[in-house]
Amino acid sequence: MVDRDANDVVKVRIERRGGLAGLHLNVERDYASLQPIQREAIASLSTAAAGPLAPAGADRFHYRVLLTHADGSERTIEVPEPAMPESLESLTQASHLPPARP
Amino acid sequence: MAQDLFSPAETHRATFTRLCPHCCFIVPPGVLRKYSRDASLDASTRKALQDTYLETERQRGLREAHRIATLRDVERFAAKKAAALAAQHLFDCQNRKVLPGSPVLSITGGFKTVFDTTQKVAEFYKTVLGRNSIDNKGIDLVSSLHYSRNYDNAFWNGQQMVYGDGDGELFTEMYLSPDVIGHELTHGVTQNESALRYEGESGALNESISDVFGAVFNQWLNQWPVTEPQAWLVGAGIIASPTKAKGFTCLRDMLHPSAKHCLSPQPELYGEIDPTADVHDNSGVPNKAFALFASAADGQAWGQALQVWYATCTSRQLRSDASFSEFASLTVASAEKIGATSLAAKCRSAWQQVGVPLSNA
Repeated sequence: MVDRDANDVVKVRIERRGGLAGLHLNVERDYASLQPIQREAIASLSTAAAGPLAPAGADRFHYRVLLTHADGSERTIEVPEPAMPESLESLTQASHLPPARP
Repeated sequence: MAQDLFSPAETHRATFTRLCPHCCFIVPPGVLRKYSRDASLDASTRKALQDTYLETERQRGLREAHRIATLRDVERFAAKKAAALAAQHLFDCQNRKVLPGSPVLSITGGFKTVFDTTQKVAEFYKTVLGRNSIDNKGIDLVSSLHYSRNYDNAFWNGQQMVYGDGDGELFTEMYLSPDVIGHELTHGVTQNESALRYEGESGALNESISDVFGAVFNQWLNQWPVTEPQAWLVGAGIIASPTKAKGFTCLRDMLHPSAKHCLSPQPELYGEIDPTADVHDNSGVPNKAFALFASAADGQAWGQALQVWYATCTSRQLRSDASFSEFASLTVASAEKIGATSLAAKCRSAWQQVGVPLSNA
């Protein structure tokens, strides 16, 4: 497996699943638009040991972070809620409002 | 200097270091007392042995007092035990993500709501199902409020219940729906019974069981018949005004899982589910099966219908990786025992209506 430098990430997509409500939330950002603390969080997730941690209990959120690198390659990182940096969690909070009822 | 792992002192130390924290009822008190005075052991090990010996003796005294009390006055003792509900402990996270938070000494406002509703859930489990708290042994109930900031969720973390305040746009305080409190507490019950794995069909069953017992608790609390439209809504009390204004009235509707008024609509038929989807997506199928069964079985869902589900959930035959089909078959078997052939037929029909085949098990 090749270690990738988080600095060559160009796009970040965060998917949130689970929670009592079971709502699906997705947010996508250009890496360049992220704040320094969010870039650091991406770097720490990128270098963390592989493999999802099983969240204890029930109804916790679960995150999937998809990193797109400059060469077009992608990497997916599964992140249980207790391990998700708050700076990245806040990205999804702003994107959760439901549309008007169809 | 190299440590002699086989010296008598080291053997004793290693043995008691390993055993003492858990074995105060297995190691004979005489052995504990003897080695607590053994000069060949270090002081900390002797102290641990002495503490274990004293705790063993204290527990022995309590057991003896309990035995004598039950022998002398059986009825009074039994009545007292039956009336006791689990004690509660409330904590305030103060908008941080640290659990359990600070102990709450003055139970007012939201804390009183959680305390009172949790007490009612415990009462529901005790009076309707004969269960004493989450573990059926009267374990204390722990709840933390004001978790994180604008937190749109409530969860069971394996040890306690946790409630966010909502963000005011999507959700309001997450404890304002009685069924949500019943839902989270029921996750604790499931953990202590079948321990259904939180993925795939067993995970969806885990979620559905929490929805079922949470919703039926709400029906019992409000004395709603199965025909009451609100009876099958999950999370109706936590939808914030801006989201209500868009036409959403609940998280899920057990009788109509795909309805447009659901914030989180679900497939209604087994053939429609995605096996890899989140456990909250697929719980709609067993949810609907229960709602159909309860509607056919009783005027009130906390009668035979809930007894059938509870007998299934607490059955040793329910495996932690159970499929919908296996669970469905166990409910039919439970219905046969509880209400004979006619109730079993209603149960079988409910599963057929959502497309879940019965297994041969």
